[in-house]
Amino acid sequence: MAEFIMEAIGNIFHPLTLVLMNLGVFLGIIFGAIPGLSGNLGIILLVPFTVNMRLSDAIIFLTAIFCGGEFGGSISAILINTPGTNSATCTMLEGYPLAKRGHARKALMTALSASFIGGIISSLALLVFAPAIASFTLKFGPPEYFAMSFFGLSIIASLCGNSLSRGLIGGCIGILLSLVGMDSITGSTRFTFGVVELLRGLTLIAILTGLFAIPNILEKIHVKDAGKEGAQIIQMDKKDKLTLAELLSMKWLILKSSVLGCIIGAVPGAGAGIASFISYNEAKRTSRTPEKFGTGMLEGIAAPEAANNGVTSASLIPLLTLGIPGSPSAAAMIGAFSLKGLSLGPTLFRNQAGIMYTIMAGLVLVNVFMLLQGTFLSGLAARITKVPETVLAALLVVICAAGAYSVNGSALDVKVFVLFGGVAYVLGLMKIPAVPVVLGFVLGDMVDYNLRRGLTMCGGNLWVFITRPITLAILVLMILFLAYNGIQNARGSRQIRESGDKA
Amino acid sequence: MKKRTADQKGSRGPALYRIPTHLTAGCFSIVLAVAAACLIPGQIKVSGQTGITSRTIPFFLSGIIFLLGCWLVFASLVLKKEDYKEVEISQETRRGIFMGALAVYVFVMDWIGFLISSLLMGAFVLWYMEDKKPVHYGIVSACVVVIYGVFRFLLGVSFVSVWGV
Repeated sequence: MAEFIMEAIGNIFHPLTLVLMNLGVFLGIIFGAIPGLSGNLGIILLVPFTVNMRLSDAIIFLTAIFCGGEFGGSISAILINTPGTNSATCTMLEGYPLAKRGHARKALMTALSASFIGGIISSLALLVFAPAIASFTLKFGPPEYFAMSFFGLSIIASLCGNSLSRGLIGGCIGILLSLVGMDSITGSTRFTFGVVELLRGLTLIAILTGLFAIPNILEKIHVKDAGKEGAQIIQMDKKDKLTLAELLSMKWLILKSSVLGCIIGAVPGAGAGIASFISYNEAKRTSRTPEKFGTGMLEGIAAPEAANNGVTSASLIPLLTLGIPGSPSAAAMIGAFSLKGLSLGPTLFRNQAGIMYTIMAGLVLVNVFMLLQGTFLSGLAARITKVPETVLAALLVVICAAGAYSVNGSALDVKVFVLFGGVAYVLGLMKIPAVPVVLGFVLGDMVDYNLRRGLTMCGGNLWVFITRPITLAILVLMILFLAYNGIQNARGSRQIRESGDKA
Repeated sequence: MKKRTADQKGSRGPALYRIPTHLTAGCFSIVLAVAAACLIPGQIKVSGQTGITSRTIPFFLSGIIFLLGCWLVFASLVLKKEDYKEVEISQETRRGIFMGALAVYVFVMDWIGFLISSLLMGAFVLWYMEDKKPVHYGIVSACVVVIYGVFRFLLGVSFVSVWGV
């Protein structure tokens, strides 16, 4: 392990890697700061740019966008009262009132410091836990992989709110789409309609851009004052500093929120939004002055920001060790791996350990660059939020088309991108969420392949999935996860009903 | 689709439609499942395969989609559980036209090349969003050329091209 860490340290200080880290953080801050865009969308759009990069550089670049995006969301939340990302909503509740009182810079520095600490703790969690989980999962055979991918699909339950059936329909559509192309076991073709280019299957990046970027563009079409410039930005006073005493007074809160963010991030499907809401509520619950929340409390900024950056690296744990993406951005990273001809999972740690450690160590450094860029470039990022929606929409269309085209150098992928934009639009009208479609698409091939391999291994005996201890444990975990989600959803529905009755 | 006019809401405004999403998603799923099941025999050849074949999972998924669709229709029509989505017809028409324009863009790309079609599309998006500032047209056009240049020369992507661009 020590040799891999030494190799990683050598790799991350490569000049190009350092440039890419900074570029990723900068782009992430910009994507996060512009309301309507997000770090997630940034990753999806920029995956094609990683085609000529080394794998470790590509993943560090993409994760840097994610880290920067989580902090960037707080810039617009604090300075223009519009959260750049949904995970910055809680930051806005405290940050904007504080900024209006003349403490915009202090609010931003609180968000940045908490984001930095959350990000560092998350990176260390990845560095410690991912190799351990990966070495355990080396014992997995096809039945275990099937159980694991099936567990991955159960994440759909946590992604589709109170309509499990519509989420499942989305998931099934995604799995069906993943089967397009050549069957990896028998070599027969599936749903190719005689199109030779479809033999390799549908391209993940084309689907992701279609499903997530086009609804974003269609939202911008809806904006009535699209040609006008953005909202007024609150100016920052350079003398308004966050003192060390103020930061130290929140040390335990930041630490707790960061750990909470790591735990939530490691659970596929949960994400930064949930982490920041839970941490904000926890900060309010344990505060000596909970009545002051909503008026500009520093604790109310630090907790959600530590948590949403705590999610960033930890969310890579299930992706790197098991190949299970917990979010669209993680799915996009699978696209980056497949561009290099690699598939995710525990064997990656065995065969590409140096690269894996480079990625994990690089993420620590990414957070340092985020702290530096956040300190000096927040004002610039705030000004970029004034880019008119019309210009953004036009550029998004072209970047998406170019990105989809570039993956395989095929015009068919651009058509797939537009087709899936239409699919996202139609599904949206029926409130069928798009995220389960992506999850189904990413995991579908894994489910199909491992189910059939597992059954072939055991002469068609389905009991193999219950009698093997690891598969049984995974399936029990899945049932507990589904039960927990069911209870949470029932609670949520009851609360909505009760608040409706009161109204 | 139920129509709800602005007058019914007691305020002036555009006409709203309420889409019964359970019923619509249910019908959509049933049609999709049947279509997939009909396509499978023609699209997936399984000569010589026995037991679990290449068709097994697709058939299984079609069945699940069908059952989920039936459940949604049952919930809507029999249990009277419905979840409506309100849409503004004028906005949806605008979105529909925009999707049509995107479709034209990708097909025209094969004829006039990536760069020219993207320049035209960029200008169309600005015009469609009623942006009248010439400087925005200039910025978008310049950015399209830069994007093309980055992909073409830095990333080595060979775009569909006409007259060398």
